[in-house]
Amino acid sequence: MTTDVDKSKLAATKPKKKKKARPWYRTAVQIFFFTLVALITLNEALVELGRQTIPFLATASLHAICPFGGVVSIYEFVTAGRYAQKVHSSSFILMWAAFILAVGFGPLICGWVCPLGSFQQWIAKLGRKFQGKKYNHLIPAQVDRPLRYTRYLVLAVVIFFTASTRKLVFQDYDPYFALFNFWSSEIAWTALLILGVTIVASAWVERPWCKYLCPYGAVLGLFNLFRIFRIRREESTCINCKLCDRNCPMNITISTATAVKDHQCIACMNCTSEQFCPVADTVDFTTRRDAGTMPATESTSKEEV
Amino acid sequence: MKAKSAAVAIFVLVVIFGSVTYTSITGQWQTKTSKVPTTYTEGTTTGQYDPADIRGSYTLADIEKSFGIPADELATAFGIKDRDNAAVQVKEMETIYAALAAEGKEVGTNSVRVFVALYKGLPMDLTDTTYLPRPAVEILKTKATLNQEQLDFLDKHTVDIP
Ligand code: SF4
Ligand code: SF4
Repeated sequence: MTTDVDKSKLAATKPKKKKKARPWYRTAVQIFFFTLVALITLNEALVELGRQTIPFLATASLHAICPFGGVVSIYEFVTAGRYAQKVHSSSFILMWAAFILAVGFGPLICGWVCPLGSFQQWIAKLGRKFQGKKYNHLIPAQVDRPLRYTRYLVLAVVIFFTASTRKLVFQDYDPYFALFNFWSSEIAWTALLILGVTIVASAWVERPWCKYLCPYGAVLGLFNLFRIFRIRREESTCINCKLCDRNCPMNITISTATAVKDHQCIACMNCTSEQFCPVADTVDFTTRRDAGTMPATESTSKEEV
Repeated sequence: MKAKSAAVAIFVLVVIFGSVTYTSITGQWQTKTSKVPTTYTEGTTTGQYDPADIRGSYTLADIEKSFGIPADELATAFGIKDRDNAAVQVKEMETIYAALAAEGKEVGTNSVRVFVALYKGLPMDLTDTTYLPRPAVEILKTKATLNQEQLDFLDKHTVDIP
């Protein structure tokens, strides 16, 4: 509910309402990685067909450049000193790089790098266009909350079966693999079906695969509990417009929190003052609040989401 | 300290490409298998190549090099005809025997691992879903030293070449 104080703050900030230019860095990084992965996959296909490859570009299977391959190989690596089927040292190295990013800022891989995440986000743009404010609010919160933990179940199942069979069992259900290999004979119908459902569902719900099923998102989400840079909101300058909440792809309520610790945050920075929050220095990606430019008001509210 | 999106973008690119560049220089960055299996690290077979590490991307020539089983004999065992046997990849078995997989009888990479292990007398878990083509079983019964448990396994896990 908007209070009188909020209303007066809202009125005081009205002149600022003209559309601000939002930085494009994240979009550029997303397009870059989507294109890079698509071209590397294409190059690998050209090698298999015995055709001329794209110059100056690596050839590698999608498994070799997927950091989740490293995660599912940990058991095999520790117990037998080797990787799961189709996984190579490159996956392990990328897994560590993703962990470094996550310790600093949370799941940057999800919000900035993962081509499947970006793909769902681009479909969401269409969904928002046609459904406006209703978009991304299809599932009631009481049902939605517990469903968000399903991805941990998927993670446990994938790790168990990869460890016990040494096979990359997830490939047959992986929409990311299907997205870049839909033409290949290696692809299972189950993966294509899951990709199709993900695409259709993205027209109503933003990032449905990431929210409910992605086992890699589940791993990276754990870093939100202790990452160094966190999304923090400054209560004293907040005008309670809820633009941060409305633009959070993962439906996190930022407008009542002082810091975001939610396991679903993908570090996309949509909620920040650089993006959708209309008031400067109100929602930021910071270390400790008292170490940054925000006034030290953490004691006024300790709420974290 | 506050991070702006430009700094985050640079951090993402530096960490990812920094890791790739550094590990490429140190030789740790591998996107393909070396086609040399890992070795056993314990027991009487320590130091020998472990057939459990044979990958689908290995050719029959790669197996010949590591385990000394001629590519032509491997091709005969798995019913491969009219091909350059040395260049046949292990994963092709899955396509050749796809019809059997639908019945829950898998002839694929694991079948090649089992064949190599039994042929060379090396330890290997015998999984219930893994089957071997009849010529492979006949070669093993003639050339390998098999115990009763292994013979029983082969009798129950033989399939005819489609
Ligand atoms: S949750 Fe999974 S699919 Fe979504 S962005 Fe992260 S890794 Fe990609
Ligand atoms: S909008 Fe903010 S809270 Fe929501 S996922 Fe992005 S960074 Fe996290």
